[in-house]
Amino acid sequence: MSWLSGFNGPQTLGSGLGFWSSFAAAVVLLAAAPWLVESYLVNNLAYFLLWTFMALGLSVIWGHAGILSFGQTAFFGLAGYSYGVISINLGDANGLTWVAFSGALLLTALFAALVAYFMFYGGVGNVFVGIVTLSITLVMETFMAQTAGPEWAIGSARLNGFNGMSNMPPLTMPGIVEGGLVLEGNALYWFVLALAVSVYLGLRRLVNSRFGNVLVAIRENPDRAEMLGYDVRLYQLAAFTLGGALAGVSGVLYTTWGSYITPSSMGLTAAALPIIWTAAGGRKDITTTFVATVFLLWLSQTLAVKGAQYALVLMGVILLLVVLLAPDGLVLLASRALARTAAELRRRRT
Amino acid sequence: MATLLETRRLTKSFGGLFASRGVNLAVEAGEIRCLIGPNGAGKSTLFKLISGTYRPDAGQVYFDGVDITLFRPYRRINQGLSIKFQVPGIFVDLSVEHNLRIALQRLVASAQIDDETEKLLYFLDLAGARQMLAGTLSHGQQQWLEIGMAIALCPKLLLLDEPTAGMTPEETFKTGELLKRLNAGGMTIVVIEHDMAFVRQIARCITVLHFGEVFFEGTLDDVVNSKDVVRIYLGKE
Amino acid sequence: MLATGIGFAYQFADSFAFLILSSIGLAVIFGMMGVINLAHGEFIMCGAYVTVLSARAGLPLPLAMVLGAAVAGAIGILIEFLVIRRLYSRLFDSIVATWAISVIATQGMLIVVGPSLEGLKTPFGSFELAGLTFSWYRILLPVVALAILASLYLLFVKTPFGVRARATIQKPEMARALGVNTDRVYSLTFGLGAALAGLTGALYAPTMTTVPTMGSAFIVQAFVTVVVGGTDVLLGAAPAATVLAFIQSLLTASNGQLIGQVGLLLTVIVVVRLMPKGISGWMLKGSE
Repeated sequence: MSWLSGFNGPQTLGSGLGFWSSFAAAVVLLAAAPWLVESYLVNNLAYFLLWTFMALGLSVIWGHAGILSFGQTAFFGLAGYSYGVISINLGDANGLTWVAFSGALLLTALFAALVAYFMFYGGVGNVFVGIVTLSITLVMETFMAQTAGPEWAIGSARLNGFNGMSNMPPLTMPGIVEGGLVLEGNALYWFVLALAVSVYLGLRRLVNSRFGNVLVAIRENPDRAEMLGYDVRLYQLAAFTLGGALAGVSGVLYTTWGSYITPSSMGLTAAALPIIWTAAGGRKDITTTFVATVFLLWLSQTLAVKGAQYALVLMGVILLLVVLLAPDGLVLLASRALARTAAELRRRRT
Repeated sequence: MATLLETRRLTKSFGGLFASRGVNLAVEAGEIRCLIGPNGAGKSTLFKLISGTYRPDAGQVYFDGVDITLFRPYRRINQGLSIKFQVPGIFVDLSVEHNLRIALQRLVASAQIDDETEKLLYFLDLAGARQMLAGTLSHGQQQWLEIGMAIALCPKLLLLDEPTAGMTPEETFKTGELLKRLNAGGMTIVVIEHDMAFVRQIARCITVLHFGEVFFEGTLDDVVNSKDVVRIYLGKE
Repeated sequence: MLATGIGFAYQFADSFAFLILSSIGLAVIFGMMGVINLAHGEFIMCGAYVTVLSARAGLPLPLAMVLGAAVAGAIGILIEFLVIRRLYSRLFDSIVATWAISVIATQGMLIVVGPSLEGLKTPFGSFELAGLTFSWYRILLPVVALAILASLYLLFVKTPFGVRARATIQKPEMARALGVNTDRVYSLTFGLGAALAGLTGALYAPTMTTVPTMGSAFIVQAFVTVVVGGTDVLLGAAPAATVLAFIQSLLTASNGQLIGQVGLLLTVIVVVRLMPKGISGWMLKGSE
């Protein structure tokens, strides 16, 4: 199966027939969900899936390039608000919402690149990347929270401070049906699913490519990576921009899913969540990160019925246990154990 | 013969302490040069100035006729330099094979990279250990792995800082033979060493550094017979 | 004119005190151990809660404050033993671990104690000057802040514990070889940082509403002061707080509190870029 070879490699777990057939089965099952479960569950699934881009982005930045960034939620928020501002001003006729989508992503990617340039080309060390990105996240939240007055508006879109921005139009696919297909409910679910699968496959190729190898080299030993002839700063900038853009995808999808975006989505607690999902899954592998994100979101939601605090306490406990006992991530630990068991069983059979 | 590497009045100080004091060094293409000198003579500092890890306070570095003084390290590597520092610089948590592949991938096309990795593994006598994590290799094997990564770049100039430190006499001898083979193939090599048997095995020309300056240059016999050199190593006669 | 000047001076002193008191616990732990304690805000919260609860139970306020600091310190020692101790070789993970503890503490308090607690009144009342009202208590706080800084200086420079602590932090193996119980030093230093945070919470408890998330009001200020102050905690804290209090007062006076906050954060970003070792690092460079 040589056409699969680009998708397998040293940076990803799972490469054989077993893995890929399970993957195909999972995709088919997920695609069939609207016919298998009730619509509110489908909406929830769409919600879980839309966060995966943020986590995958963090996996690229932190798990692969070794840069701990607290800034993912800043890019999430920037993209969400940008989508809101652009789409409220442009309206949703004739696929203009896609202009808002792309505009928001472009803006977010540019901002991420700017921050990356400032940090990596300024020779800021790793601890300071954490400080700068945390500061940016806090600035964004604090700044947006005080935009309550009517003077805080861009065009016809009011920023609304603590209460957040709402009533932005959902994404609409021009054509398909009369007036364009509004991406809500099942349509939105399939869109998010298709995007998630494409991004996942695309990242699998990327992290296993030469580019991915260089990122890992930078994570392991940045001086040696430089001495092999790589411009470390450029690769760090590329990884950080990609991660920021992916966080932006989550941001736009979140905004369009709930028609709503608030400053608290950029707050300190919100900034902790992608770190928890990525760390718990195993940040160095995109598959475990993906699985852990969806699982932990589902778990939080189930617990939030009792009270959001219980869910968050559990998240905190999980993160603490992971750091102390399974720093490579729980899902990674589990998959390794599974792989060892499978190998052992195979050996015993021969 | 053309001068491949030249430093002019290279100077570097750390808080008032001069590690390099106007070093003028010229290495011809095709040489194997050994850099020796007592501890604190500034040998490793000189290498770091040549690699770009340190910025000089004054002076220039020329490589193959190009003034690389202001180049960042990765640009110097791209010009054809390759370096192995004293502190091990392998990717300890990656496999041996992956270490070499990362070193090779910049210059080798995808179609050939598997073959080239194989060849390099056998060349370094590490084929049996290919899946092992690089950090679990013996010290001598780690040195070879790193030398392997450095030569994977097919450099014009190879700089090695104490490559045989911690090696057994057999490993040291093998390393010497390896370097001679590389040199016979056209690679210019500069080695910082303390092991005089090794120096004798590989070098024709030797530069002695002392207190950050070039103190003496000549063949090994010239060096051994020089009273001045003996004095700086042993203190007063 | 005089009123604006006095008003500004009051605002400045108030910011200065808040910055010093917010950061001192974090600074001790970061400066001495290199650990970024993201649960710092929660130690402050702990000190505040203990103070309010014991004062309402009848304990005189100064004693309640001491108790608040002591309880926070004890919990700090416990956390150092259970969590931090295992992470000295992986300092990055200690950031994540303390963040986890912070989330557990805040949300846990929300579950156990509920969203708010009836607080205390600010002691000593207020007075009027040049048409503006000032609180005696808030004028006392900058004095207390400076007193704490002075005591820490004496502790770390003049006492045997302080000398041992600094030796351990700089060269642990050497300190151990000389017979210093390094485990105890780390434990006590972390405990001291936690106790200082608890003291801050105790001091500000009469001026704020006690909520489980109150730590977040301090964490930004703490973090900003430590980063701008730089590598030498004792040397950098006061100059950093002075500069930052000035910037914050100026911005708050013209644009409001949140913009003042934004200004602080932007200052951090600029300082990190231009003076990566902070003010104290820049001050010490000349003596190399």
